[in-house]
Amino acid sequence: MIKYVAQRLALMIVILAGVMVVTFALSRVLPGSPIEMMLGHRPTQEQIDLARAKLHVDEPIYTQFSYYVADMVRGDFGESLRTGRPVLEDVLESMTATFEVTTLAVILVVLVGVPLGVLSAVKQNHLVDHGARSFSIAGMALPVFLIGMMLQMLFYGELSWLPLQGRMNSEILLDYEFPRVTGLYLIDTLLAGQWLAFKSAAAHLVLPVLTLSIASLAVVTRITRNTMVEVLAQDYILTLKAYGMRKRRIYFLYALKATLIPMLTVIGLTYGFMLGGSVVVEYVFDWPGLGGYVVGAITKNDFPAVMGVTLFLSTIYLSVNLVIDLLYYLVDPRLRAT
Amino acid sequence: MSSLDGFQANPALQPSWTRRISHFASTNTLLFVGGGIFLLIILAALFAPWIVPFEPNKIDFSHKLLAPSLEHLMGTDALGRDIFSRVVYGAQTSLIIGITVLAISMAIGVPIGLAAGYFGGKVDMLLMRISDIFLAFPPLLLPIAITAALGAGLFNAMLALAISWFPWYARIVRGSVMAIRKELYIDAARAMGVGSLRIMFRHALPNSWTPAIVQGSMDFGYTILAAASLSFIGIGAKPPTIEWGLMVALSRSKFLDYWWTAAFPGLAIFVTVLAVNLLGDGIRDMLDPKYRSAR
Amino acid sequence: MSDKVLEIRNLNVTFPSLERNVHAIRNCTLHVNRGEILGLVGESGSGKSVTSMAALGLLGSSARVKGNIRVVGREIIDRSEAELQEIRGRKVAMIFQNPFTALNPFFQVGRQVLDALLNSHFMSKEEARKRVFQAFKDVHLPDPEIAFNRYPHQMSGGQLQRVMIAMALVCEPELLIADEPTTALDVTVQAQIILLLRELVAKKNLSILFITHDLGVVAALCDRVAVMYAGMVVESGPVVDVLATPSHPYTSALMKTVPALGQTKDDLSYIPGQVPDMSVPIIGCAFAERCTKVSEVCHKQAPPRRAVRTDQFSFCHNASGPVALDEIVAGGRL
Repeated sequence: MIKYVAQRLALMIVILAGVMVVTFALSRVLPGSPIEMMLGHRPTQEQIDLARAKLHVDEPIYTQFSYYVADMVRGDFGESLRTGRPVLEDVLESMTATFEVTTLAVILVVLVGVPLGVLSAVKQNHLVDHGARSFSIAGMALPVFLIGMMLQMLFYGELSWLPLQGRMNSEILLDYEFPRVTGLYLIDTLLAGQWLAFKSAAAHLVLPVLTLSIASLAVVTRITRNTMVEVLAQDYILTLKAYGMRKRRIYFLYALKATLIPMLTVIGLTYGFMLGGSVVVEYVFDWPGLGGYVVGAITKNDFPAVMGVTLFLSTIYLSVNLVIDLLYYLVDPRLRAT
Repeated sequence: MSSLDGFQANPALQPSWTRRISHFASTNTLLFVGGGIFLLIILAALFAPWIVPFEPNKIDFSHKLLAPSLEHLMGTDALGRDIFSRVVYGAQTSLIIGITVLAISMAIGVPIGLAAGYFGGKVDMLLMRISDIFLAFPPLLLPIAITAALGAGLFNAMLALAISWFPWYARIVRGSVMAIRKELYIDAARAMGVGSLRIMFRHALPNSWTPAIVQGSMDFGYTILAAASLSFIGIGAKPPTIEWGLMVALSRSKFLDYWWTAAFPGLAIFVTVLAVNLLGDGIRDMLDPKYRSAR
Repeated sequence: MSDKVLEIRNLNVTFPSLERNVHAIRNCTLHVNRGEILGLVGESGSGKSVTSMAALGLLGSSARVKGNIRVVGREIIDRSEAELQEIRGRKVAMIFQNPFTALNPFFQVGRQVLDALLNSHFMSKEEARKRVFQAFKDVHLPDPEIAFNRYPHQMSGGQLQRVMIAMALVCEPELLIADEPTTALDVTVQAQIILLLRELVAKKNLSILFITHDLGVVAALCDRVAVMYAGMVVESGPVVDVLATPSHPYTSALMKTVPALGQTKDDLSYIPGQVPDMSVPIIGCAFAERCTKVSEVCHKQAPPRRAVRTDQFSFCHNASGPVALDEIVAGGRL
């Protein structure tokens, strides 16, 4: 077991190093003076000199890279050209907002998508199956931003049930204080007992979470269904039937375990998709998370910020995949034999 | 292999070709519909200059934000441009995007996969690690980073998408080649003294690019979606390029009151991607037999 | 009622589909007496597996099943799923051809046998565990306690097949249906499994429906044999009689295809022609096209049942009596 973990961890580090090579290459090697990119336009001579020293531009590329890696590992992503603060600080602050949306979306997708996929496979070619598959096909063809905008049109424009954008009603935000314990508004407002603020936070969360979920839901349902269908066609399911096992038991105990493994992969990919998708969703809903931060950074050519966020999110994504690899090990006995 | 396999292996029980096709058509109406719509889109893109009633980039403030009517089938946008004409021209952009990104992606991925699968060992490990590195970036982030470095613009966005996507093709081709490597005819060729490169191209490649094609047909739709998203957040296509995602982005300030400015380009994306996906599924069903039963 | 653990009479199974209707089993009749091993022999596609699955009602909703199947006196056809579940794993147990796919790779083998037992019988977990260990011992699995916790991929084909047999045994069935259990195994392991089955029949008064395409196994293991062709039993009777003096031309032809010691490769025999298309209704005898004894009537009328001896029957127009083995060996080689 330890060996397996160590192997996976080592692999992750190698890949992370590779990712840094890519971001480094993008920062330094590509056209455009790296100094300018880091400092923006019209830097003073003093700033330029400081930057030259900091970026070690006069030294060979390998040395530059090692300094770069050292910086990254320390968490020094440079300073944002917009906010003037260290990028890491910006990132950590925006992170919780993204985390709140992404986590809720993943939970929703798993809780709805997996049972729906299983049901669809078990009742193949019945109404549920056709409905679920149509929904999957449609869901995979809709761009995320369009889903968001359509939801806004419906729930805000037409029905006025939900707010248009943002994390919380700005008045409520000002009037009802609550300490940022976790950074997750739903939890923080509850902890502080601020009921109105909680309702506002929840209302603002509905559409972004829904938007992020729908596309992934389509994929997860479909893959769950297809995997389950394949599993149900296996011989050992026949054995169970031959021994008189009730169908429900077969599906939910034995078949489900076999489905878990491909499902884990899908969940990993889904999480990655959401990390990327949150960029668009946050832009649509003016959500103050990493996605919004990054889009703002790009439009203002805030290069260090973009690179910082990219590296940060990639690390998170790799970590999630590492956890999934570990889960594989626990679920699939075949991996444990050598 | 279930116990009923012996029963089905009997060649006397296989249906004729014509029966198979009509059975296929009746159970795959979706595929035919998808293919049909896609064909329409291609035609619209090809004949755009002759189909559209208005100049797509012609600004006319006196006619701005008009609701859909007989004259302006999809209404006009904030600058008075006819949306229908713009949507039709957008088809050109989307198709070009799909083809370009896939072509570049495959051009990078297929040789890498071939080499990795064929040579195995250290070469394989190295190439696969490199692919893994590109797969470690969450979707859209690498294109964002690349365009931040290279500058925004449709071509850079396409290049960026192609670069983030090639690992899939590399992996698929590699898998295929590895399976084929075990086949005896490769050993036979080697024994006869045929060079490695030749074996790769003449024997391994033709057999392994089918799964790549299948993947490509399924990815076409996703490519269009990704490009639209990049344009939407402002780092893909830029005016005066006409691209559906960009059109939706431009409508953001007004779409709540003037729904057609966002709805029609959005619908165009949806219909196109849907058609392409259905077509891609159909191609996969045809070329990859193990999926037939999963329907 | 004579004690038959399995009685199949005029079984007809059709698989309707958009493209064609496949009439897989046509008027199949056979029975297994208590305490005996019946071998069901036939080529691929003859319908042996379908018959065995039909016996447990496992064919799925797409199959149209008509006729009579009685398992330990209980009718199987048109029974509800719940009623069938009463019989499966209690009165009847089944073992399959490929133990690697028939067992779930994600669960320990002992656990799977335990579940099969607890599912159909009511007893405490400790009692069940004891029974499983006993069953493992009965099938001569080395180190039952260790084997219990193993996963399928950690065991060999022979061991896994023993596990499957143990799973069947532990449910104390009256009938065991074995669908080609030795086909996927090495010859030496095959021999071991066959010996094991013989031992179990003697010790536990088990009855077995043993499906195979291998005449050698039939000769070594079975008491009676039923030969199947194109969905129908064409000949049945005690093994010694049928194999030594086959009455139906198909059986004789099959016997010829088994190479004998001392035969050279030039003498290898085969049956010319192909199994008929089961989606087309068959008029007359299904074997007519390939038969050496074919006559006019064979193409027109379904062959009648002929009694060759008291217990040996065959369905043929032209097999008037037992055909001596020497005749087959001497003449008619291809």
